[in-house]
Amino acid sequence: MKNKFYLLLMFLATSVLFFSCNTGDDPEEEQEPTVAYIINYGSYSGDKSTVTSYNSETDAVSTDYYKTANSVDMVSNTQYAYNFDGKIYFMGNNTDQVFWVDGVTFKQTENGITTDIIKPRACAGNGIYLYVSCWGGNIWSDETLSYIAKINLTTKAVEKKIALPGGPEGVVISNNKLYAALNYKDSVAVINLSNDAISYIATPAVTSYFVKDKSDNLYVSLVSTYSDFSDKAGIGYINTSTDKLEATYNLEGVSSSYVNMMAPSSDFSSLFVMTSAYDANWNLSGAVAVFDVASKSFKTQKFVEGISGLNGIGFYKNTVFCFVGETVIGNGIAKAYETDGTFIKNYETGISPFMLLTVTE
Amino acid sequence: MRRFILTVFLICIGFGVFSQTSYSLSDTILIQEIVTVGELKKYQSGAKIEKIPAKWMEVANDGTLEQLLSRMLPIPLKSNAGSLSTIRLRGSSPDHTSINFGGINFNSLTLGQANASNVPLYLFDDVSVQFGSSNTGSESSSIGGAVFLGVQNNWTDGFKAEARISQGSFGEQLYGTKLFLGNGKFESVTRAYYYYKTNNFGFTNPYHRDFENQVFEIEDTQHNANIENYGLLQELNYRFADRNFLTVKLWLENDWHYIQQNMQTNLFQPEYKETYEDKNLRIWADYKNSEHKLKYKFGAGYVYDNSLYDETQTDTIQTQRIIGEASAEYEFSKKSWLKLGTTATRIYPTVYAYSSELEHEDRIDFVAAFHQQFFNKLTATLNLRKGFVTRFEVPFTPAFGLDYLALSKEKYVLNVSGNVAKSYRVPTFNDRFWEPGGNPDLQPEKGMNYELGSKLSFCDDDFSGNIKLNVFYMNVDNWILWKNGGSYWYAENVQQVESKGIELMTDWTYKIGKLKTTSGLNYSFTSAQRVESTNNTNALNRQLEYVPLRSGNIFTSSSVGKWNFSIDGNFTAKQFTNEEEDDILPAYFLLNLNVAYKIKINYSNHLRVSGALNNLLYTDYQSSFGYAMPGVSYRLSVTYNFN
Repeated sequence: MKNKFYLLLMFLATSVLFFSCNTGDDPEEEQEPTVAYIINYGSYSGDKSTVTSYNSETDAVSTDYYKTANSVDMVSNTQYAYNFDGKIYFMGNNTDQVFWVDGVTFKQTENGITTDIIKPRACAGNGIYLYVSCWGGNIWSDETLSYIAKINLTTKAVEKKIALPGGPEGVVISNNKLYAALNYKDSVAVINLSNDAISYIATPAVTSYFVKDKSDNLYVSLVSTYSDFSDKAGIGYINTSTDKLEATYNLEGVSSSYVNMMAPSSDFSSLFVMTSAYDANWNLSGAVAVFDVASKSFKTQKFVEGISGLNGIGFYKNTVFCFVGETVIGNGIAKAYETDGTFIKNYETGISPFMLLTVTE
Repeated sequence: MRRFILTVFLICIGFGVFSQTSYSLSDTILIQEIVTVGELKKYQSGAKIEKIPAKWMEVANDGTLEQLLSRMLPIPLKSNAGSLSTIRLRGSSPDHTSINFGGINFNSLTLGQANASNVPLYLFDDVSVQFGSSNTGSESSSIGGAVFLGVQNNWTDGFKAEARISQGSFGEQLYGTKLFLGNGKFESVTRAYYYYKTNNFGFTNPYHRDFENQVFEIEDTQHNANIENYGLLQELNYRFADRNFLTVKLWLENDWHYIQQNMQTNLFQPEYKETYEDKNLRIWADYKNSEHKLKYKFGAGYVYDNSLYDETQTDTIQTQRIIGEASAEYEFSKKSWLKLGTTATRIYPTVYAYSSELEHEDRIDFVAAFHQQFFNKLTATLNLRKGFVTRFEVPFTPAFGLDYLALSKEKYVLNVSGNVAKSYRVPTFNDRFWEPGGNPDLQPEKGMNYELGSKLSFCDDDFSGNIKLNVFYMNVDNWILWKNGGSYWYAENVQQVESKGIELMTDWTYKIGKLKTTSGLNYSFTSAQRVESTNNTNALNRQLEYVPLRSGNIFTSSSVGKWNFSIDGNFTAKQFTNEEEDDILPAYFLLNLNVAYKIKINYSNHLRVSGALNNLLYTDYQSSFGYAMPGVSYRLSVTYNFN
């Protein structure tokens, strides 16, 4: 019996090894779930956020996914959504709250956290904690208001507010450190999660969003904003072992959007970066540039150009999605492209789509 | 809707009962003369211009222009609970309706729109509304229509005074005074008011989210929506001869409020506050000489507008205007007049988001208008207007109108009229110069308005009235919207809108013994559709947002002895709030009641006591998506008049 068991175990192990060595399938792609969620910001003063589900098998979209699951509308404009430990966390603005739904059923069964949450922007999870970047008020008037809210997910309360001036936007955790992109200061803040000590990595422009590569190092967007102009816009590369900005790669007009303005391909060979430019008629329109990770350079040709109202990009099932919302009074669209830039089709979303979220179990 | 029908039914029954009674002779027909905008009507035959009757000015005197218009005319307004209200005449945008006083159009030069909640009726005697394009006297922003505020020249000989105190629900207070001093030739009129409202009304909040107890609605109270407005209107008038006078008006206005938060924020962040303050100084001086065949007029004005958001002093939003106007009118005969005029304006914008290189902008308009009457029955007017704006091309805008007396009998008169008018709007300073996103190369918005109207006036013993029916078609092209450019938003000429509809307005006055009653019913059907758009939209050829397809109002005001009773109701059909089908404001009907009593203390001292109940049916409604509106409210006023 024991031998049979070992034999079976050996057979299974060999099978796993055999299948995992099959070069015909992309192991990363296999892990992608069938359904992805498009988060629609909604209108700040009108209709609030909605969620559009996209089923890759049926190639169908369905808006109002949250409402369908919960029978009521969201009451906030979602700034960012994050999949962590079986739940999807939403950073809600106006009404300011952090709320969450079950990652499978999309049901909300608990009330959101509002205490000590003022203008939440983005979040990152680590163990029993969720770290939420918060503006803390009108950051454009007072840059000292902002902070990181450390939420204890077992008590469902903000356990600590870590003061972090400079308007933290995107956050990511690597090597037990929280990296916060500062949108009102030419820096990335690094918070040691063991003692909450803060250090800074100087950057040539203000920053907004991170993408973590397979080595746990970070690509960060370097943006020129109205309040902090820079001619050094582009992306930077941060080594999280040394906490150094190892390189910067200029890209004129890189988007100052806060969320999902960069998206890596599933094999991380390419990084798609949202940018904008004026067309021949001096109308401002969105474009997507491609950063070749191997050669560490931007391709000369834009991936796509002339997309009016580009809010965000996403990569899913070997497809690049561009989220477009020209106004906040009408539904937006998700434009799907092959990886070579060939347009596939448009999908209707809710108002102001801006990010794609996949939920891994 | 049922309430509306019921109320119409009740008022009609009332009317029916009254109409079966015999009347004494009536010596007047209720045809409202345009006092302050007479000249506009004179050169715009066929244009629809309605003056609010004095009786209703009296009823609404404690409130704002928004409250008056929403109650008395079938005009769409998008409002919150007292601090912001914009007019959308005939499906046009708020930027397309101008509000005018003297020779001043006081729409914001930066935002384009005027806030009807910031116009206190206590300072004015007349309100007239032009439906459809107006291209005389109101600069460029009157594609959809125009509102004219006026004061009457009384040429006081002696001293008259009025003091008013008013208290209402939700901490509402109004204190006002009017002082008239003169010798028949010189007159000083001072009007001042102070208005405050805590605005802490209760409402049912549908945005409560208690997932743990599955409760999604709660009784809530509006927080931090206080309003504090005060103003002073000073007139100095001198009469050289009966039709030769100089008038000077100075209007100081300060409007402060907490920005009303939507129901979500009100519930989850009850302490949240944002302030907004408008400071305005408007000065207008007029010299008119109409003694001879050649009549002439000179006007000059200065306007200072300053807006302050959340006490952020560094983000200056300020404009100054200097205006000069001259016109001459020659009367060839009793039937034929020609008017030539020009208006020049220099504007100094000081806005934190504009380039410092933008120092000023000049605008000059030339207007020629011709009025000709044929055979005592047909009146024709032709209006020609050409404007010039610094670094901006504006179109030539003619207008032509006819008015024909089709029937004139002993007891009734029937007029039919028509008007065609071209109009335009210069994009706002924000549209052109805001950095980033402003676009100096924008095209002007262009409007074409076609109007056909008829008016039947009748008079039979103690029964008189008017039935007015208008049909209109309006096309607005190059409609400017701000679009998402990814990094920031930018202005662009985006869409074309067609608006067409029917407007019915009626009033009738009748007497039963000592009871004199005026009633009316107004109805508007406005189909306003986006027919072209450069945006990807689901809402082409569908009713425009915040424009109800149907709206109407009814009113009855009865006077007997020293008493006056008024009841009015207004109905607004469902409205789209965005380009999608889900977010619809349901139809609603509001009913209001007023009672007033006049007390004569002696020959020169009078008191008027009045009470009002608004939203009597406690209708739960929204005029602006997501913003709570008050339920039933009261207001008590005491007015003291000397002389």
